[in-house]
Amino acid sequence: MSAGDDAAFAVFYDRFAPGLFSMIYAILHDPKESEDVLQDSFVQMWKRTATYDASRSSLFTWAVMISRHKAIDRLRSRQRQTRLVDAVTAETDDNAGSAPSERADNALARSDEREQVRAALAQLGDAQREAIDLAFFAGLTQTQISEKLGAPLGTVKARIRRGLLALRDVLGGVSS
Amino acid sequence: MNEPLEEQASLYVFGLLEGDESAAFEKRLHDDAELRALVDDLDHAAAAFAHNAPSRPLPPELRERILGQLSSSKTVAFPRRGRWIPWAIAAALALTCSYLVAERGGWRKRIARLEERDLLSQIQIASLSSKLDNAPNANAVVVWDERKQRGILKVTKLPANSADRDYQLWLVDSRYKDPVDGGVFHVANDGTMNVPFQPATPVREAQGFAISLERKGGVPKAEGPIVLLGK
Repeated sequence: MSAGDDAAFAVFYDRFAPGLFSMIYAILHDPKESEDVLQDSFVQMWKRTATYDASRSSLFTWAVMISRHKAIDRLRSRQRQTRLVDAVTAETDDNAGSAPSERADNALARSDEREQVRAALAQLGDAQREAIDLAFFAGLTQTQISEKLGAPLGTVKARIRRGLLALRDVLGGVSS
Repeated sequence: MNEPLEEQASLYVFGLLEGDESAAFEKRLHDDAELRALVDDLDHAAAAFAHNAPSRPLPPELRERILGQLSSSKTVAFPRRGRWIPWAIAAALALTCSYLVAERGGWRKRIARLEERDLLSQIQIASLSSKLDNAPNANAVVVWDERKQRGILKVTKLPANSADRDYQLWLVDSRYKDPVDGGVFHVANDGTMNVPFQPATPVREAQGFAISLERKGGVPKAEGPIVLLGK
């Protein structure tokens, strides 16, 4: 894929776009904006394929970090411009499953990975999981997370550190 | 590795370090292989959190839209019949710049006349003026071919950028909330620069252009001061 091959990138899209879209939507809670951010993310990945270093991160990690950065950037931009709409809407189809266009083998692989990750997350304490959840999806600052959780800033930082280190130790080779 | 550093690394992967703290950490990261390895590991762990998002159906039509855009965004050789276009742009730029040098006061009228000519009918020309107190005479000209989605930027009298900074060009298009990235560039010690550019995202109607001073390598969205601005 590093050569920018169209077919390889299409496979890459089929493999990762469903999960990335779900993640972006969990951050933005807006279908149109999520589509735009997914598009921007793939454009950026396409341009950056030559700089991807397989010795430093898996493709999944690389794709998640680029897409999450884009989504958080969009979220903060929205907040800055005080055009934040009601972010959490009742979505009846949040658990509707994979899109019809997703390949069955990809969906199965993702499902396996998701189960492993959720098992790993279950081993974290509630406080650690909650702090990381806000850090990952909410686009809040350290101080805002502290206020939201009603916990001292130092405590929040420690929860994020301990939770992430624990997750690293538990996950091992998952999500590669 | 000590706890404070682990804590910083954990916050860093979520983008929770700010300002000086973030800059200091990135400097240390650059020099410390062990810290880089830790950050890579934590990136991996943090990315796994994406699986915690509730599943959301991916619109099927998005595949064609995205892959289609990637396909069309590739840098391609000029087709044989269109070879005159880059030369026309270059010629237009040279012509425009000569007008700027010759007569700053009346150049807009002259450019307007040039734009009426066939050669420039599909080409937009913009003059960017300085926002810098220390370089009030800095200026730039952008020649933009919307149909080809490429242009040429010529800068004069702009202070040379330091090694850890880049100038970055932005195109303003009302379709997007934020200006579109036009690429980064360096300015030589003589304050001049002449470079072709191609925006990161298709621009349908360029309503203005800006140049900001950013950290090296550029940023997805302008953060630094605007140094040149115009339309």
